[in-house]
Amino acid sequence: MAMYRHTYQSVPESEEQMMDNLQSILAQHKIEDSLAGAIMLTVSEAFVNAFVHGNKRELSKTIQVEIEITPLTVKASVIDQGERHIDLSGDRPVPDPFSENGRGIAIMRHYATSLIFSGSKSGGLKVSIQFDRKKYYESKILK
Amino acid sequence: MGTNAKEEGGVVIINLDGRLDLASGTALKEQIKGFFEQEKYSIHLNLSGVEFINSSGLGSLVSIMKVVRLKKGRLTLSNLASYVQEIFDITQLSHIFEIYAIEEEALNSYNTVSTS
Repeated sequence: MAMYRHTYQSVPESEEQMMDNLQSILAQHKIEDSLAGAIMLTVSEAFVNAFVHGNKRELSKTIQVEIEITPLTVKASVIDQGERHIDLSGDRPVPDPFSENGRGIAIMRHYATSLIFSGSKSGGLKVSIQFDRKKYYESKILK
Repeated sequence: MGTNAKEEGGVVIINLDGRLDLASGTALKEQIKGFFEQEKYSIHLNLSGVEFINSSGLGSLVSIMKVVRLKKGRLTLSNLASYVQEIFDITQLSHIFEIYAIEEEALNSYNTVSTS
């Protein structure tokens, strides 16, 4: 098992930095391109949610990203320092097509094997994302 | 994300490459705002070089489209890679954007509309 933990400042530029780090980790572990793309997309959605809705773009706050890679799974956690900004109870409606936001969770749900929102120990929101590597490849083959 | 722009037949053509996310989406909106200030509302975006797009990038495109529609202009997209097209499909945005397979087809559609 390999575990990576990075903490990013709550600024727009951190998204690029986080993506570069994530891409490098996934390449290091030879994660197949389509799964790597799905992981990057899903983690980026959680990261932007943390920055915009969790930390409310406050520069003094941080976002922690943890990646755990095993032969069977890739797990990612994105933890903000805001108040719990998402209704944890269930589904969210499909946004108005002309809305500029509100699509991130639908994208995460589409690509992740499992997606869990919970409170972090520090009081912010923790988004736990899991990809079952075997199941992901099988679903791609069946498509 | 890199962009370069040119004009052809009254249409502003912008080639996008790299990642289209929160920061680059904001930069793209700023770039296009410059064309809006010149009353240019026919915009074509060639996405052939886009290797990544997330909901923030999509939100930027929706924002641009809303201005264009308000001004009775057009926003067309072309050359979407399959994974980019998939994200448009998942979010049901394929239905509200004018998406063409290739840039030439999109630009021809401007001629068709203007002469009919």
